[in-house]
Order: sequence, then structure tokens, then C-alpha cells
Amino acid sequence: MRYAMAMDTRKCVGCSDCVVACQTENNVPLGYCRDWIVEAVKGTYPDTVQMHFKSERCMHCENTPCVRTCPTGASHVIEGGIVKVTHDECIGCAACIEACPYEARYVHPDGYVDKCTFCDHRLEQGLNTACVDVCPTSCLIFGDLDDPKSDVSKILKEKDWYVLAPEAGTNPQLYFLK
Amino acid sequence: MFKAIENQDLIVVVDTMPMEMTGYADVVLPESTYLERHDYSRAGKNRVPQIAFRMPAVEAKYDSKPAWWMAKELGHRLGLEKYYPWKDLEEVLDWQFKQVGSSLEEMKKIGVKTFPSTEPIYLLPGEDYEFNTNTGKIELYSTDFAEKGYDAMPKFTRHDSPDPGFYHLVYGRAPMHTFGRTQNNPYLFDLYETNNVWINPRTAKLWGIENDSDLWLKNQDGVISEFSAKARLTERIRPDSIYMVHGFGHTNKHLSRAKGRGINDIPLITKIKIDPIMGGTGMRNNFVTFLLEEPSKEEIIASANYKAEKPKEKAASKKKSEKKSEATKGHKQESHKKEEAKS
Ligand code: SF4
Ligand code: SF4
Ligand code: SF4
Repeated sequence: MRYAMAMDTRKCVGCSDCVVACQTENNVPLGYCRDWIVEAVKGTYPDTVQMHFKSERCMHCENTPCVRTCPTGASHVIEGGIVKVTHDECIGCAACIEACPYEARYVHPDGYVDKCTFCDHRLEQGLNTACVDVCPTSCLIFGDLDDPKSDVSKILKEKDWYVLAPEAGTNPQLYFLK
Repeated sequence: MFKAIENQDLIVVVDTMPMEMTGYADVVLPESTYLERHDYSRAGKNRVPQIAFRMPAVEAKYDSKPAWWMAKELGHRLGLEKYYPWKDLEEVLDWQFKQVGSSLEEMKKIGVKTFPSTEPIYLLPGEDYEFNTNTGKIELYSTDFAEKGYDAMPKFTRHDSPDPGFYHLVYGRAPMHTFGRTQNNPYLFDLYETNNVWINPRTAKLWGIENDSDLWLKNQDGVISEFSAKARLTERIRPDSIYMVHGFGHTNKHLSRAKGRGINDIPLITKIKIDPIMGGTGMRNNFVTFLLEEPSKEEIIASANYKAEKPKEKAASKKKSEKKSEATKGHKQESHKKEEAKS
């Protein structure tokens, strides 16, 4: 099992539904977020100005600097490659935040570090992640890369994609479709 | 407008939120939001004809009521019971659904019901068809307009150009907000708490405006915006124009979060053009210039006859989560740096 998410940058309209769905599903306090939207603009007016949105979150990397730097073992990897933080074991030192190249983690006001869990509590019930479920343009595709028939495997085979900061060597599992 | 309002004998406002207008009302009838009430069903005569049921997702808060309830209760008090021979909207909907072979019970389960198309929706190749025009054809040259003395062919008329130092005021929407009514929602406020003034970097340079500079706007008729907004430098706007998301700059104190946040485009729209043929209104023909220094309260009020008793409030800058709080949390804007590294 290898969970991964593909994100179609050409379809995303930047509505931020995925952000609010995650906040409400996972009790993320107002002012914080586990997923966020990046608006990227290229070009200079009046030449072709291009823009696209990306919905970003923890990339559930295969090689995890965040887990390696965690002094207490609170950051760990579970079945399917999901990177999690055990809240009671986290001392809030934020070493993982420094180590993560994607700014995917934040310090919860209650003192521990929090981040995207790929909604593992929903996956257990056979549901999709909250962000995937609400996206009105269906631009988030989630599934198991070890299963060649999963939607995410199929779309990554069909389409061109890129990952963020490949030079960091983290082998991130959030793929952006071109 | 304020004069017109003050001349009314009675103003009754039905709204879901304490908007500007409710402040002038003699009677406010608070309406439940669309997620808290039954509404008449949506019927679409689209490619696939369908009806859609609209039911409450949550219970109505406070003592807000749906509009159908207000109409019925008012009807009863006016002695017009006979026009409301039903208990509630569910009863009405059930009757309506039964006319098309469904029922409230079924619609509660399925939500949307589709029906087969009874007439073809496209013309077949070569099929004869008469359009509803004098000639029965698609008229590029409108004989109807010609008869009535209008331009039969659309003629280009040059739009007005701004004076030096002024810019086209363009307004529009953000995907997370709906008109002016969602700015106070805690989640949506968290996402997008104020509008910004989009300025092309070349224009900004002439003025010495930087990203996040506070500014006020003044239009061609001297009207000054009641509040300020921060500049957002972006190539997404032309150098001769500025852009703002509509729906901000609320003044009702009951909008606990949204009050005083951002610039309201409406008072800055003092010039309205009317299409001589179909009466449509064009409002994007106003111009604004920047005020980099905070204007005095008196100056602002005098400029537009704003309500004087509404004190000007400075948007308290509440710092949020470290990095995700740039312009709007959860919505990082234009990370050029990040992009260039990749593409
Ligand atoms: S994105 Fe950051 S937090 Fe998530 S697994 Fe990779 S390094 Fe760790
Ligand atoms: S997968 Fe779940 S936790 Fe992660 S961003 Fe989506 S909704 Fe939030
Ligand atoms: S919900 Fe979908 S379309 Fe909306 S911002 Fe998120 S990824 Fe983009």
C-alpha cells in the first residue's frame, strides 16, 4: 500500500473548499490550516500572463526528514506511507517544521505539531479524504499507487506531472498534473 | 440614497445577515439562511430536464424564519388565509412533486430527479427554423433596432479614459465569498478577511506603493473610500486599472468580524451608464486615484455623505499563524519564488 495524491493544477479554481473542509473535518483551529492554496502567476502584462492554483498539503514523503529529526518519535510513518504526529508524544520543539521543505506543519495552539494525515480516520471507514470529497472540480485524486487500477495510478500514468522541490530528495507523494 | 431612505414611512427588511440596509429598517424580519430552510424546488429545462429538492441541512438559528413562513403569517394577519391553504412548504412541495410523478418522500431520498427530454434540443443539419425576428433569420443587422431608430449594427463607441493619475475601477468576486453576505462567516473570514487593491507593479512604482501598503481610494467625483485596504501588486491587472473584490467595507457593527474591513466599491461608483436599447447598467466606467495618507474622518464623511454616526474603525491587525497568514490564510498569493524554482 502506498497512498498518494494527484492535484490537477489546470482544473483548480482556487475556491479553497478543500481548506475549509479540512478545517472542519479535522478541527483545525481558525487561523491555521493543514492544506492551503498557492496562486502562481507568470509573465508580465501585456505578454501572456499565466496563472494557476495549487492545493498543497503534507506530501507524505517517502524519505521523511521530519520523522528523522523528531527527538521523541512523535513523528512517524504508518501503513500506506502516511506520515503522522502522535500529539501526546510531541513536545512542540518544531524541529520537524524546520526540516520539512514544504512548510506542511504548524504548531497547534495546544502546543503540539499538527499536519495533514491524509484523513486516515476516514480511509479506515472506506471514505475518501475530506478535501478530495468536497472539491467541486474534482481536481484532487487520491488512492493507492501499489494498485495499478486505482484512479491515482491511472492518472499519473496518463498525464505529465511534477513534484515540488525534487532536489530535497524527499520523494514527495503529492503529484501536480501539468 | 440616504435621503430617499429617510423619506420612507416604513422600511421592512428581510435578510439573513445584519447588512447595511437593516440599520435603516423600522422592522427587521430575520430570514434563515439557505442551509436552514426549505425552498421551492429548482426546475431546470436543460439538456436533461430535472427538478432539485432544497431542504434544510441544519436547524435554523436564533428566531430566524424562512420567507414562505413570513409570507404565510403576514397573510393570516391580513385576513388573506384563503391564499395559504397549506400548513408548510413541505406540503406544497409534496403536491408539486406529485404533479410530476414524484413525491416529497422520494425527493427526500434522491434530491434530484431527471426526466427524459420531450422535444429535441438541437437543430438537425439542414433543418428549417424560424427565429423570432422580423426576417426569421439570425439578424446581425437588426431590422427591429433600425425601425425603432437605433443603431442596427453595433457601432464601436470609445469608452471614457481616466485623467492622469486615475485608474479604471474594476470589481469582481473571490471564489470563497458570495456577494456581500458571507464576509462575517468565521471560516470564510479566516480565508479571506479583507479585499486588496490589485495594482500593476509598474503603476505601483510610479506611486511608490509596495505590497501591503495601506491606501484609500478617491473617485473622479471626489468620493473617498470609508476604509482602507492593502495594495496587492500583481501582473493580473492592467497598468491603467485597479481591481477589488466586491462585498467588503461593511459598516454594520453587528457584522462583528467584517465591519471596517476593506474597501466598498459601491460608494465609489457614482457614474452609471445606461444602455439606450435594453436598459442594462454599466458601472465599470468609474475612475479612482490613490490616497496614501489617511484622510481625516470629516473629509471622508463630507466626500460621500456617509452616515456620520458610524465611526471610522481601524482594522485591527490580528496576526495569525506564522507563514500561512500573508495576505489570506490558506491562500498564499503569487509565490513567484517557489514557481521559478520548479518550472
Ligand atoms: S511534506 Fe514535510 S511534513 Fe510531510 S512528510 Fe514531507 S517532510 Fe514530512
Ligand atoms: S487529506 Fe485530510 S488532513 Fe490532509 S489536507 Fe486533505 S482533508 Fe486535510
Ligand atoms: S477544492 Fe478543489 S478547486 Fe477548490 S481550491 Fe481546493 S483543489 Fe482547488
